[in-house]
Amino acid sequence: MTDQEIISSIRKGEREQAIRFLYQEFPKIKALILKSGLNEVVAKEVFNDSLLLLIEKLQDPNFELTSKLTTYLYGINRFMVKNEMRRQNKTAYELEWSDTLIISDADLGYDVEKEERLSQLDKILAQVSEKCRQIFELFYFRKQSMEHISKTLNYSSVNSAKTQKYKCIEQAYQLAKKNVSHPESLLP
Amino acid sequence: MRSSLEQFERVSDYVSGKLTESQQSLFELEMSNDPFLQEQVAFQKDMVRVVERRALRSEIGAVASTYAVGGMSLLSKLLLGTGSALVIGVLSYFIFMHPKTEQKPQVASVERSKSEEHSPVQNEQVSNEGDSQETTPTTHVMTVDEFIAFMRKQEQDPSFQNLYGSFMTPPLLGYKKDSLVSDNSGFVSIPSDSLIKESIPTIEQKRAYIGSWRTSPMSRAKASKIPGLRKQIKSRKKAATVYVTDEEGNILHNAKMTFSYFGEQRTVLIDGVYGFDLYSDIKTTVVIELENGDKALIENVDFKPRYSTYIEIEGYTTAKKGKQEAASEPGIKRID
Repeated sequence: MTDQEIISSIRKGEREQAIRFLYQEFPKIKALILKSGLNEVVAKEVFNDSLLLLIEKLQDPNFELTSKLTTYLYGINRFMVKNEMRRQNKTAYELEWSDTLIISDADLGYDVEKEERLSQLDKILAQVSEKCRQIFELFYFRKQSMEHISKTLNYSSVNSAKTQKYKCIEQAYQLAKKNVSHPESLLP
Repeated sequence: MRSSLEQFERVSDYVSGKLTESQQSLFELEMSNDPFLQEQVAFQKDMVRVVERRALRSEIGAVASTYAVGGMSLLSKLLLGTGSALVIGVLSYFIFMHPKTEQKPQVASVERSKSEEHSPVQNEQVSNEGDSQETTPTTHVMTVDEFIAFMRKQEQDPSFQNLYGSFMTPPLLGYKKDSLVSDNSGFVSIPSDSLIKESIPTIEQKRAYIGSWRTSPMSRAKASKIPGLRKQIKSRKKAATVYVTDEEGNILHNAKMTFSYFGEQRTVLIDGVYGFDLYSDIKTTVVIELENGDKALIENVDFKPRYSTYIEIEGYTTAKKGKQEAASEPGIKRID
């Protein structure tokens, strides 16, 4: 697949083939991550998170790629490895990544505080009911209409589906507020 | 006064970009003077991002697992890792402990009618059983040629392939098949009458051997094949092999192993040997049930890393160890 084909399919929401293609870089990037002093499990997490950031970037219609896509992927991985090393209080082995594109927080639009907030919200989503998660996925990710959602999830009317969606988001919001005052409540 | 539900819908429409240009301008003006509204918008935007990420992670995870399983290099590593352990284990077993084929335990004869419904390999085992009940066990040391022939034959046996990973379907050798439900990972779920909750007597005169070998990348990939365990991949993990044998080292066929971890309970059927994953930091309880219903409990399975070697669990439970040692009568061939 060419870079343009990958970008185009990701923007059309046809991600599987693109992800599969990009995943072919994993063994080489993993080797670099391992040489940086991180273990295999972390290497996979770093790679998957980098891939996720790349896809998010590519989904932005305003994003313009100024290098090869795989070069950009290596750059994001380098950035994520540095973050992880900092988090683990380890010294980064820059040598291993010397030929890799340098990407900054600003380039990537990466905000540590925001990432932390999203991570907390992710844990909250794990706490809400399965029905709520289904509604959220259909509405926010699949972008389905409430009419469609009410049929899919067997609600008696569109209004009941809307009410349920409201209750779900309210529940998540209250959990998030509770988490601000009692962050330990979300500990695994 | 506008109700919360209405306000929520407006925020939702704004975040989803469903408002017209004029509605949007009006909403933004209103928002600029309303911190609560700003918070609501920020929260819903975060929700959208998190929900999208969850779905994306799931897509990436699905590709990652198939890539890892299908990747030849990883497969080679797995085969290298498990293969060496396997060869050492099987060699050790046949050199030191394995009796002639005729001395196979009589479990299969008990299940003859069920076994006949299954693989030809199993039928072949059954056909030997008639003689075996009358034969005295003798130790047989295999020659290299015999060993190679044995390996070739076993390669055709699906149960033998279980060594290569718990993601492969275990052979359903007629063991209470109707009451078990197989899932995608090859595990078999059992009904709620939990084995582990029962009071389990010690199996006298029988032993379980459990071994481990180096964790390979493939064994991590396997974890993703276990429904509900994807979040637990971070746990340190050892690929382990359980051998169910009698004191002579003869494989006891058609045993059932139930292991419980992460609050879940799984049951697999073992034809003497089974490969699975153990998590070093998770309490794992294993129950071995022989074909005749005898059960043994191994609590808190936790072994130190050993490479290419097998470790005998010292008795099934600490409390029963003394009793286990007392049951040392050699030459036990029948389970009942």
